[in-house]
Amino acid sequence: MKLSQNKRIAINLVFISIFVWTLLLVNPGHIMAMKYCHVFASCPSATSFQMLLEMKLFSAQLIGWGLMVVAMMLPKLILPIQFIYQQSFKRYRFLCSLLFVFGYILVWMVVGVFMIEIIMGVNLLLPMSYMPAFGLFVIALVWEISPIKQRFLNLGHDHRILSAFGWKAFRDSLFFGLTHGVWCIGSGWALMLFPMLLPKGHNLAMLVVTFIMISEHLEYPRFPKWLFIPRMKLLRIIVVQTKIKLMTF
Amino acid sequence: MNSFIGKWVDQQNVLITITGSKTSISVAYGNGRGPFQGTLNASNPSVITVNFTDDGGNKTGTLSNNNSDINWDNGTTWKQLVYLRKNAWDDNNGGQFIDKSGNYTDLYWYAKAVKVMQSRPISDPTSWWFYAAIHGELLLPGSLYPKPYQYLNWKNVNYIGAAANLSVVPSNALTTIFWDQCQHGTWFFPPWHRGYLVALENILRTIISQLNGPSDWALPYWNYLNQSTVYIESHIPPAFTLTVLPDNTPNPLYVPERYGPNVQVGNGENSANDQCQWDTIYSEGAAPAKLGAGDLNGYFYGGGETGFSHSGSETGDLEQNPHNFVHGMVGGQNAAGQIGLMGVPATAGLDPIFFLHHSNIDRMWDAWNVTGQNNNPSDVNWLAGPTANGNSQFAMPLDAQGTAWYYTPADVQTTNNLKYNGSYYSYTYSDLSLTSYDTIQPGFLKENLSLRLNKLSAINLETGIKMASKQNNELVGASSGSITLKDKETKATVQLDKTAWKSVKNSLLKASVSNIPDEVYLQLEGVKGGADSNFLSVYVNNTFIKSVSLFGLLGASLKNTAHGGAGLTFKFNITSIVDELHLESAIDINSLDVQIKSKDAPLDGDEITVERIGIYRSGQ
Repeated sequence: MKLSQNKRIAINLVFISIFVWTLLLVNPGHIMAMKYCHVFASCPSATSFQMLLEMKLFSAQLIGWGLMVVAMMLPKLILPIQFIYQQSFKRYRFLCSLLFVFGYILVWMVVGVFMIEIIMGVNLLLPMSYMPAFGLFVIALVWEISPIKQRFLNLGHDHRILSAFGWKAFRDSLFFGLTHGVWCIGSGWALMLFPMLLPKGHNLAMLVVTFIMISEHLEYPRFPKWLFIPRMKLLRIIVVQTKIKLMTF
Repeated sequence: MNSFIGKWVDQQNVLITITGSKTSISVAYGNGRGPFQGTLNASNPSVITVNFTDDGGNKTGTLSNNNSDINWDNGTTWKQLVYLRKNAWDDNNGGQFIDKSGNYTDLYWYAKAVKVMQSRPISDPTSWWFYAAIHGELLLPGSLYPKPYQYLNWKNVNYIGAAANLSVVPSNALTTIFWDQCQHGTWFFPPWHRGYLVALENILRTIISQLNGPSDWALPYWNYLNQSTVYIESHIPPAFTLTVLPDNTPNPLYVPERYGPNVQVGNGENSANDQCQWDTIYSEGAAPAKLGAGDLNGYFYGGGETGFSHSGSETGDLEQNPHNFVHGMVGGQNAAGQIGLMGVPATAGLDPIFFLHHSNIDRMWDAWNVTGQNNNPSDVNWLAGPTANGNSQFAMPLDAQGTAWYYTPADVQTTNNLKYNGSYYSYTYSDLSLTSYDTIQPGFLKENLSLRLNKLSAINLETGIKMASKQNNELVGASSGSITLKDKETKATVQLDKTAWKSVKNSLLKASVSNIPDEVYLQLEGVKGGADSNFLSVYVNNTFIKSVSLFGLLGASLKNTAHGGAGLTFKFNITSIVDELHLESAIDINSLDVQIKSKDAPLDGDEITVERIGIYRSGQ
């Protein structure tokens, strides 16, 4: 059976995401020079921040961060990329999508520089401590129920109509990626940082956070106000679709 | 489910009500006989034994296969009560409260029951105001409209009386389950509204029974498309324009904020019609996909498939015209440019004419199924409803406590044996003609694929060609930049992309049974503004294509709402024009002229914007 374009996009992006997840979690054949989260959690306290930088750990960290963003966020980009495909000329579709993803990841990488500095700094000051993660957890919780977070989530649904022709189509796609990235960071910065501050169990935390972030971006926009609502749409979809499949077969 | 629970009629036409649980029942006659107790057979739930204490004790009843009869062992038969929804004009003495014999009509009892519901505060789930809010509301802080539309916010609506007590809203739990559910621009539009009407109809009937009205009362329908020689049925029935009831008390069916009491019927610009009834496909991918003339809006009869992402713009043909059209026309605009309640989704449910309008829309869907013999989707994602994609269930309150009836499209896909609150419920309409206005299929809709291939000089035609269930859609042209409609007429030029257009051109040149030529659609994308009761008409190279209603535009244009401020997208099938231009070799790739006319001139500061006009091919 021929799959619809939307399904093909979704499958490809999920496949790439799983591949990068495998790289991060399994690191088969030690193809990565270092474990992406090595320093995040277990820097020896005696090592100075300057030494860490000299050890070129920072650039390795940044690569790890980039891969983490790709692994965690790519499934979230399924809907905007489907949107770009729908409203672009066939020969522009791939390039426009690539520019969108580039813009999106670029924003996360810029933020990543600051995030990594925070992570490294925190680990120097409080090595192997759960306190920073706990502190951030409280902040993340407050952020989750805040109207600001809802505002960013709403903006994440703002799918701009793109110019169709020439360089304007590419410019609009890049700009779409940049703005989408900003809204995404606005809603998910605390969730993204939380696993990195955990001395242990950050892989599991990353998976959980990915699930939450995809779920909350699937929810329809709503009026921003202080509100505790479990945004578990992905879980609901999985449960119902499993039930449907079991009923069908 | 206990299939015996419901209303039955015996051979003497006495109404019998069966209530109960999964294992036991209670039988009560409308003439006061009973109640009698009975039990379901443990091994066969289609058999009951009831102890008729005044008639010789136990009797056994067996349910027929289609749940329409109970056959008793003494030879008698009870038939399931099928409620009859009647024409608000023809069957109500020309839309009056009193019939020719001096008896009260269904419209009178509707008015009396509406009055009772309106006397209840909004915190009561069986109040008129609560039920209106199920469709949509402008009362909760997150729903309120900004300037200059604050006159629509419920606290500013004169029609809502003091009894509504708007200052005390229901609990958050109730509003979360029930309010703001209306399904528009989606393939769930027909089934959600069917359940909404059934739930309200039952509440109204209970009140009417308590008022000693007919116990088999059913919601009337306003068929504005009916070409009666007796009444002008495109006008709103008089019962809705009189300010008082026969007893000289205020008429709750009269709504001051209803500015357009007539429906303009026709096949021209800004006119309501029932061309949609000639569609043969409910939604793209719905099987079987027999070829038909329809798909006026690009989303077939019932609307676009709604997954976990929903733009709210996949409006089906039934929903666009007549549904949206009648909302816009009846809502209308007053001299100050204010839109009437029916013209905006978040206020429409307040107007009692809403339910007669939707009764007619439901009638058309039923006729499309029953008379037109067209099928609803068999896709499990439609049958299961929005929950299949993680969204909320359809829910209607049954009582003042807010007990919910949850339902799916599968439960309400027929009006016969509809699954209502654990029992079967059946109703029908006094007229199930497929069409009322476009009784002969309009010529331009007749062009099926065989005719089209003939026109394009294809050879080796065969009959029985099936449409591919899934089509490839591709952008082939677009306008540059957004377009602002400041005047009644706006012109735009759309450029076709040379490379992309080649596919269309080739498909037309090589048209044959195995190479079905592309269909071409024009889309107005990202339409935003606040003119819900206005209409847009689209012309391509000076040929009229179609009009669309802007019902729902304001809500879709606001950020921080479920639409996310994306506006609306309208799709127009321009295949026949492209065919003509192709045959005349008159396609100018650099300039396809598109003209957009609005029915009313946009008000100052309230312009309508169209972010882009896109041209799409749809084909193999």
